[in-house]
Amino acid sequence: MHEWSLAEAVLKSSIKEAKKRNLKKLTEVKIVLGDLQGIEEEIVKFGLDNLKKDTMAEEANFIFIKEDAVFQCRNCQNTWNLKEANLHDETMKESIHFVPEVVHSFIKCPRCGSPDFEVVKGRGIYIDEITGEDSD
Amino acid sequence: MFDAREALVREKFAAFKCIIPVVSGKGGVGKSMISTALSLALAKERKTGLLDLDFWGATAHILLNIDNQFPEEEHGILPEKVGGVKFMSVAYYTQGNPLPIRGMEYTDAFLELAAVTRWDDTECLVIDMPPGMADPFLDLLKYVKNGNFLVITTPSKLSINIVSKTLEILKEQNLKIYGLVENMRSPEDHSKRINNLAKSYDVPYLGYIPLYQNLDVQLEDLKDFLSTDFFLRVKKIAAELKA
Repeated sequence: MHEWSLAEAVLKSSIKEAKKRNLKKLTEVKIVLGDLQGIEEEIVKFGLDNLKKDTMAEEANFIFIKEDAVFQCRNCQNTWNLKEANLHDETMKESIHFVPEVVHSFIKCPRCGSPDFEVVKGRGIYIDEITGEDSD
Repeated sequence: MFDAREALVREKFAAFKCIIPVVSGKGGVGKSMISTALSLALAKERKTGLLDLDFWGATAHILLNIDNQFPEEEHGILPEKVGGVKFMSVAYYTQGNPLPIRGMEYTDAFLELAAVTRWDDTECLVIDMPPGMADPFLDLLKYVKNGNFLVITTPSKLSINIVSKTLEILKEQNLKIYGLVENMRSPEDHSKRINNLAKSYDVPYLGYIPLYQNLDVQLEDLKDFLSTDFFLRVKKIAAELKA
């Protein structure tokens, strides 16, 4: 249930950003969930619905967008996806779920074997967009 | 598009009454040993945590005799408690494998770990830092605004040269510095080189720790570590930090 912390993180960052934009209340937050981290959308949503009470996000609608993970080798420019990464071991998956960067501890470029690759997209959680009503 | 974790991370660090980043521009000067001993010493008086931010060379878990079992989860990750210290490290998740990551990936891993770790009522956080002034050091300066730095050097000329640069940047940024610790001093060395270095940057010289041959080789468990002269020396330094 570390998704609860991620929900807390999303809420705080959204509110901070909304205040920066002089919004009075948040009406919508679009959240991207990268495939690599394997975050449970339902738990994040449950956390957000609980945590948003008595905040400027109380009436906000949280929209989740799934993003497939894509890796690119910095050595040979090969690209591959999560399915091709063959991450079947449960301990590996669990480790990546907590800290996605540890994927570098478990996989290498399937073409050249380099450990120097980038998670081009689908790493984890980020906020795509917030919408709200301003002070006027 | 923006990061979901930054606001929470800043808030979590700001909640500590005291944060002691243990830093040195130079590697191999004993930061991990001192950080670990310092957190164990402080834990006798106040609720203390130890965060190992040396992702490329995490070792504090070895000194604390921690295996690779994941810490518990409850609305976040609950740091494991060892010798009275709440402990968090990326080592739990690398499962003993190397972690070949670049700076931007370091920042992501740092933000992730900092966002999801629940320190709760921990008052004092000791941070074991990697050497140098690359992304980990810059992330620390960016996200941790209430640090009071403990700077470690050995009497080596090379270390003094690099550590003077660490002190220079900390002073230049008006950051709080608890002081300078001289580690691995040989019994024949009676020079005042490190006192002078401390004086030249107007920071307290907190004392020296002698060079103990094979110190970590002798350690079988935490009890062994707590009974070493090394630990007692660090405990003395910890007492000075409270004063």
